[in-house]
Amino acid sequence: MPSSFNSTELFNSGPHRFHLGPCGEQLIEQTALDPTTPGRQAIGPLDGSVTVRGRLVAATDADLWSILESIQDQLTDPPTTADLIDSNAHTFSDMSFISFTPLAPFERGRTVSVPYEAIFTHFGGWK
Amino acid sequence: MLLLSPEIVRFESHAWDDVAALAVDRIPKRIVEEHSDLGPFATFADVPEQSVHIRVKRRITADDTDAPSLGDSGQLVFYTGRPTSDLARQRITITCTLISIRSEFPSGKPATRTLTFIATNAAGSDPVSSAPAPLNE
Repeated sequence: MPSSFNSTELFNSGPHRFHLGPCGEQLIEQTALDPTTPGRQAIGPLDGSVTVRGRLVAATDADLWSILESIQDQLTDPPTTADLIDSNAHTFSDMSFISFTPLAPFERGRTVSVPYEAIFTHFGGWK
Repeated sequence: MLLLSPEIVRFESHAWDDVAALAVDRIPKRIVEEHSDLGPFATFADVPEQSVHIRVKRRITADDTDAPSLGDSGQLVFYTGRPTSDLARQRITITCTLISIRSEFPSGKPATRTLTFIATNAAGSDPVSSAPAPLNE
């Protein structure tokens, strides 16, 4: 099944995997509030996060730029919030698209491709 | 590509008619293999960085003091087939740089000298080009 974000197939030109981030409580150092108090304090649930890592693949440079532009269209301020659906039909609801990072130069062999990392956040934790 | 006893091999001002074998090897410098969330096997592979190495192995039967120098760059030219008989004969041209010269002295056999080149192409495309060779060239 193709993955999607905001009903748009952003990453299906090439292989990609969904990585779940940590869940639980966010801690801060007590010294951030009072320099004389040791230890840490729980302040609330960690934001949920999903990182998509993969490779965009195209026949030509122009085709790859076209894919990149369609991804950049989803990176808005404030962030676009929508359903993120993985390749096995699991839905992560209310995900905000935070960033997209190419991890290498364009690589040109039989295809033109680039590895990347895309970060999505569920503000306020999963619950 | 492997040629045994090619008719003649030229590199810049040098012309060798004593070549026992010429090999064009394609070597991956970077392999991309990617997996997905769909299963255990790779779903994508490519070779975005490649090298072409050429080895020219000569039979040395007389004094040979006219070898090119390491780092010399130019066109290596050789042919597939024979000049008078093969209509499909091709002229192969490769721009390359000489990176090693090694001599060997096997007992009971003629000495050999192997020259190794790395092919280059300023445009980043395949450095090995071929074209039909005229008869008797």
